Amino acid sequence: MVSSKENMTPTSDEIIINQINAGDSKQFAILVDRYKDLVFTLALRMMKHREEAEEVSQDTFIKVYKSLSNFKGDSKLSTWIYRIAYHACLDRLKKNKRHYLDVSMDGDRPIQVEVMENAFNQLVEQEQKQKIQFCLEQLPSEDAFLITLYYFEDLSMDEISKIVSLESNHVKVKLFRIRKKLASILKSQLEPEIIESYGRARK
Amino acid sequence: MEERENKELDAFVKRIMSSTELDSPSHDFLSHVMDNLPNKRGKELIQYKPLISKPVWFVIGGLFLAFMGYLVSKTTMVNSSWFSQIDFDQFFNLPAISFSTNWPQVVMYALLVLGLMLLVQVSWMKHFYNKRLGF
Repeated sequence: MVSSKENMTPTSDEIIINQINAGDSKQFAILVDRYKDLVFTLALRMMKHREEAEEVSQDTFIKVYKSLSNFKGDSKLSTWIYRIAYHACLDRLKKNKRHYLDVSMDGDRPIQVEVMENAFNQLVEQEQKQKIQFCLEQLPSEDAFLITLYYFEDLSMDEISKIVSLESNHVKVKLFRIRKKLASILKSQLEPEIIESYGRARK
Repeated sequence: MEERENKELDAFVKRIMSSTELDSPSHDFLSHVMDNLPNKRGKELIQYKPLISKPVWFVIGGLFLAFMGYLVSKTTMVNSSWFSQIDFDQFFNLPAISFSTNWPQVVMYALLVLGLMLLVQVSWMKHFYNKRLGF
């Protein structure tokens, strides 16, 4: 997957930030364009509602603009933006008092990755996408955010732990559980295909 | 065994996640954000500007000194007796309002602790928001 950042002009974030801080607010459009897709995707995975995700993403960028002079440059700008986005989503969820039910992990039964992979491969591409989309929607907000961040951005554990304000060991454990959760949801979605592939193996 | 399973699962999830795409916000998202940006940078808005500038303070100081000088040179010190004409008794014989003795001590302590907690909270919240916005 190619992140949107790589397609952009080589003007570094730092130069743009300096220009904005010097008063050229129009340059902010470049930053918005650069990060809007991932911020929106993260917000969508967390809010599970398009309009709300769009509002939260807008709020995120306005917050970023307002506090850009506070950005010290100790971390990547993207890390800082995702952190603001994460907290904006949490605030909105808290305000709405919405809670998504946690998904059970299908006990501690080992997940047979190979069986699931075979079943998954039987689906056509469009079906695969739909299934994953559905599974991601079933994940609790924070889990969906974390797994999207982990697999879409090349971030280190330390950077992720900064974004979600958790210890990096805790992030590792969480990611392990989320992967299992996601696999467990996908397995239940792939039940007919799995049975079919078993049947074929017997023949 | 578990390690291997974890690695396999990681590879599988990585593969399925890479088949999903990033969602894009609506086409007027950028213009919405740009339209809603505050007009001026926060830094400029709260830039410190004294109400009375330095030169004005010098003028005021100069005028005050001149006035004092005028008073010293042109007037003679007279031991006026207006001060003794005021009946201070009427000020000092006010009915006593003594709430401290009527209130139980525990209330006073509670108020004191409340005040302290407020002070702690202010500094804690400042730290919290600073940490959240800048690192």
